Amino acid sequence: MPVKKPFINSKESSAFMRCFALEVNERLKLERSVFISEANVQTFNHGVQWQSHNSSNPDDVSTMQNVRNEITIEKSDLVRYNISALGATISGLTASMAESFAREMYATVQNACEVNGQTVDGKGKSFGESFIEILEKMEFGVDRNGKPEMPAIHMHPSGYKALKDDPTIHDPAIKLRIDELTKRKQREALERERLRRAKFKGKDD
Amino acid sequence: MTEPKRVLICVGCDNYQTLSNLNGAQEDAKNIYRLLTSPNHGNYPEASSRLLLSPTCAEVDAALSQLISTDGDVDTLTIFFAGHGIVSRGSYYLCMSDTAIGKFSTSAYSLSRLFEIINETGPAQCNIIIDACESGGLVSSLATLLKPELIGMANTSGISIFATSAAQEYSLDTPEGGVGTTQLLRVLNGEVVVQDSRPYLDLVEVGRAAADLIVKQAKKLTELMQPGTFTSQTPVVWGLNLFGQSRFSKNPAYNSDRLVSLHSMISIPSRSSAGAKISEASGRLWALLYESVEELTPKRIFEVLNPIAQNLGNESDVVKFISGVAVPLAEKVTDSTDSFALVELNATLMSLLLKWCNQSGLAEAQIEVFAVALTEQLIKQVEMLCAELAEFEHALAFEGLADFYYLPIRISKLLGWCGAGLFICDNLGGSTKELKSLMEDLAEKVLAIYEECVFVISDAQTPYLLAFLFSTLKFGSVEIGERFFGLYMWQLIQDKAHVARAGLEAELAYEFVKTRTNGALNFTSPMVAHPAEILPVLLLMAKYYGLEETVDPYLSELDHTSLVVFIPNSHLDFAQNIIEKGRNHNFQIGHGVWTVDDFVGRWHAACEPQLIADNTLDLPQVVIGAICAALLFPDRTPWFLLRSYEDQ
Repeated sequence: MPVKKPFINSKESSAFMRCFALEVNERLKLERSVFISEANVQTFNHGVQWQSHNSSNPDDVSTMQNVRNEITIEKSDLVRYNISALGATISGLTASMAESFAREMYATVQNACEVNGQTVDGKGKSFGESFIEILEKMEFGVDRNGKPEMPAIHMHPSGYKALKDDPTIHDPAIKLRIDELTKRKQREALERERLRRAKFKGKDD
Repeated sequence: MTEPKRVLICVGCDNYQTLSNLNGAQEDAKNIYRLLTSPNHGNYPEASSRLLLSPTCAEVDAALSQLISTDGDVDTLTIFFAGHGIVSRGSYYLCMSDTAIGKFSTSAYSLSRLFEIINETGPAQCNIIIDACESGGLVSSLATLLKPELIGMANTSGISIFATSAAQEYSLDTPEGGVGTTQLLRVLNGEVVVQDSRPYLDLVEVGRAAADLIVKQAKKLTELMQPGTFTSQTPVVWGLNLFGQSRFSKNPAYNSDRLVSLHSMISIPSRSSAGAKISEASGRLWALLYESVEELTPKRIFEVLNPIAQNLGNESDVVKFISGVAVPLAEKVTDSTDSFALVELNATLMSLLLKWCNQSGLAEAQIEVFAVALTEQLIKQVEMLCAELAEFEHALAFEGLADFYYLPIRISKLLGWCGAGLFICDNLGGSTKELKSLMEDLAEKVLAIYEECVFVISDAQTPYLLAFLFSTLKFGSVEIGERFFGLYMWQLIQDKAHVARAGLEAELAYEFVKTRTNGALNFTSPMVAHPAEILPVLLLMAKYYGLEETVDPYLSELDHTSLVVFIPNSHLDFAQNIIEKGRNHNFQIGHGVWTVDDFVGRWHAACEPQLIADNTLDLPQVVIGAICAALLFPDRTPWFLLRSYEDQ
């Protein structure tokens, strides 16, 4: 026999939890936008396999990763009507999910870079030299309007501080090289975009 | 193995000690008894049958206890009563010869007493036929008597009831017998054909057929009577059979050559392990049948029946179970105001059986039965719709402002079901001629009246468009198909392929229409399908219609748009809520796809081989079941229809 309880609100509680999930999702969107544009977020109804025909390896089939997060609400918080637990739970869950996402994202990027040799060893090099090497290896992209986009740089705060304080990064000669390199990369990005768009058939073709 | 025990009690009461006498009740009971004990009709053995004429309550009790207390489980218990019936203080009573006016609770036979006996016996199927005054009153009593938990505990598997007049009405009675019983006899002796696909008839379907006749006959008779002497007779038919098909009476119209394999499908013994599993779920099943017909959607039926079928875990039991519940569900949805409810019900039942195909062939045989019923119903409904549109052009727009969202979907759904019907007929090995002609008629009417509504507003239209457009290619209606293709493709380009995601919550449909009208949709909106499956369908159709050069110059306007083709590993899973095992083929316009041929090339290289590798699609019944699943649950697309189709 199931344990009986007074005045159960199953449907209402589910609706309440759906709203909770929506808020977590909204917050997660914000966190995720640091890494990728929302235009690149896709939703699938079925299947755990994924074959990306627009990638450089269109025959590769990958499997989606499961990410699990858990929340715990203390009964004592409910009994004491500690309403701050609600906010804390939302923040905690969002942070935990964002962290899982970031970890997966960095692992994926790292894996892709290693496979393609797109890594830079900073040993024995100044920050300025390393930074130029990084830019050299990069391909700049363009946004949906065809305008060149600057690459995003993700660094640990201590690394960023060290970069900012490094004298070579402020060296005018290095700065000039970075500037020229950036302009060249942007020109290359525009040319690639022109070639890509040229593959469409025009109405007069 | 002993024969399942079939018990019959026929009671006819003309002579009353204190109530007014009747004329034809005994005659009714005799006629029913004669027909039901005949080996060619009812097939109830005389040894386990009783005819009681104007008995007392004690005599009925004695006969019942004698028949059901002998050895052996009772498979079918059928009780027929003709006489006076009365509703008193919310309870229904059958009046026997010694029933006294004003003392019904002590001198009449109460329905609750009858059910106590039924519950003690636990027959696999119980049929109750009452041709009496106020007999319809019993249904309101049933609501309290047949509580799901009581039925489960009592091990009572199925009850069907046929009462020939609704509460507060009076059954017509003549010396030749009551109108209700007379019409019932016409159905039982095969004069009126109910169906020819199963060897036995269910009381619910018999009752439904008889009810139509009774209403007509009663109307005729009342026209001949003095005004005010009689009110209309409204029969009540009600029932649910949880343990496979009921064997109320032999089906005189059964065509035994039609589906020999179905002979083995009779019933699930209530005390078998499968029977126990069904008993456990009886609460959910009863609740399903109690729901209003509007709530009885394919999704709801699938959600309730699928876990029960999975739990049975055996093809044979599942087929018996699904074919058993099909009868009352079909009877129930017949009352729906949705003209395609029966089409969708048959499709739902086939979707439920899909997972059980590719074993012994039982599921496939049953799918064929439902498929035949679906196509018959589809042809009927499309024919009626075309006739209606000829009379009333705006017949498809009936939901007010909400039609700004639902009308384009409804149009593609109608065309999609026609296209799907053609594939179903073809896979059954039948003729496609009649449906093809109807589809062309409907399509012409849609173009003439609703051309501005021929566009894609939701990704949920994808399966319908694939079924319809591809059917025009496959079955030779190319010209019509091209015209629809042009309209759908053009508007999709105008909308930058911004369509609602399949399964968009009804509450968001209004917001979607508003945002679309303002031109403010984008792929970051949670209302928009991203990626969508509609564009790949149209790209493939462009190739098959030979229109790729017309479409190519417009693809730049869809630059960066993502598209997806989802193909499951096995189409036996195609009806499941979420199909885990399968691959999402992801494409993007302007990134690997610049022309129709770019996409078609990748389709042949990666998608088609996956479809060819799924050998379950070699079975036509799997193709039929999977088409139905896609049209019922349109977040999946029947790509398999294009399997091995050669580019033109």
